[in-house]
Amino acid sequence: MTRCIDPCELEEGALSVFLENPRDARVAAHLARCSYCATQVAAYRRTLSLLETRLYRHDCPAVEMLALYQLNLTTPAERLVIAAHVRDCPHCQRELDELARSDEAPSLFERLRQGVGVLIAGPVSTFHPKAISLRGETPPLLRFRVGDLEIHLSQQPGHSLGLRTLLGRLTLLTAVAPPEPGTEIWLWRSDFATATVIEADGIFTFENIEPGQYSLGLEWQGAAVSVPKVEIV
Amino acid sequence: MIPPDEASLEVLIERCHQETTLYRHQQSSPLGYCWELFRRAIVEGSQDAWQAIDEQYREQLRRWVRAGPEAVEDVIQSALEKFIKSVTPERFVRFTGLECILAYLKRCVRAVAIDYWRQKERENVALQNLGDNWKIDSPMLNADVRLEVAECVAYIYGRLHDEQERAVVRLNLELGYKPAEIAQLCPLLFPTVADVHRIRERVLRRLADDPVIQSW
Repeated sequence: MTRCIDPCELEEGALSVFLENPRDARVAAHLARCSYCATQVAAYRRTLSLLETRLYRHDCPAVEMLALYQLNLTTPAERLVIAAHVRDCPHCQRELDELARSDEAPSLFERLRQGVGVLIAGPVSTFHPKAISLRGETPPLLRFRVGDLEIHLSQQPGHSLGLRTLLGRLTLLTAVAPPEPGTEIWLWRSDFATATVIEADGIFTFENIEPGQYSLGLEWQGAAVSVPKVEIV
Repeated sequence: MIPPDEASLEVLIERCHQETTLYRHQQSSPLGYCWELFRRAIVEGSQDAWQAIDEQYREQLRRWVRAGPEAVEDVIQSALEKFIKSVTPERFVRFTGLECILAYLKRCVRAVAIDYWRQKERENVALQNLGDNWKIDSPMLNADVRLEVAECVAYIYGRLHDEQERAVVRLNLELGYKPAEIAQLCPLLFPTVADVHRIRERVLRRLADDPVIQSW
């Protein structure tokens, strides 16, 4: 077929709309009857893909150039070009915001890993009371304390062979507000790091952890708190 | 005290270490030893200075990386490559001191992650359009074909007739704006979203019939 069966049925632009929204019933009904327009849509789609693949963000400055621009380290000529591009480009604007976040305070994990200004929770005692256990798991129970915060840790077999599950609970010796549910808590060693969140009642769980020595850390009352030697056996 | 530009490399390295430590804890303003160490590396091309910089700042770089431990060294390597490539001797004179150098170095670390997402985004665009025909080694991801891309872009724009068509291609195909967003951005050129679709369809119709574009 060399022409549309009913040129008046669809206005110019309807096929472009259909490319964005293939569920447009009116256009779909027309295409079901008109093989010419159906062929056109297929050709437009192919052309769109050819064009987008070549054009999409083809002239965005390299990210390191955006960083130089942000720190005013570009030449005036570069600055003009990048400023004009950034004014129009939402992607580069977003990336500049992302780069600016480099200057923000380090994340909790960064602070924990750096160890600068981190409060260390010391061991209170390690014992094997059959009566005290978390969620019914087998002791040993490890207890650590910093200020009024106590961190109780216990272990049980993980879901996979040889791996362990670390169970924990935060308790307070006074009526100070405990860390809120949703607060992140980290477990890491030199070659591994993982995070989970504190649930209701101060409980947290790390699943499928390899045996070894780890550090545990969280934020409490604005300070990074670390338990430096947590043995998972 | 020996001025930084007269200090031996050994003295520079030692003073830079002290300077960085004090600076990190915000106990003093840098005196210029670190800047001079970077200057010798970048401007004079001293490999020993580069080696000292690597040793001095690698741990700092590790702290900045937000990635799993298995990727940390790769990210650092890429960040250093970005730094070395972009900070030419001519550009280095614009760096006013250690604070500025470290701020840029930190951004180079973040730039590695942003580059990764840029590439993912491009792959998604290609995947969305090409479906199963998409190949990960598409030439679009290869920087060597940038010249070819520039020629393609020039050819496409050469086939457009007016400002409306150029705006649709620029905003929709280059920058990824949806037609409705384009109508909002340019109400004078496109009073309604239907106008954007009308122009877009007109462009697609013409370029779909273009043998050069269809041969790409």
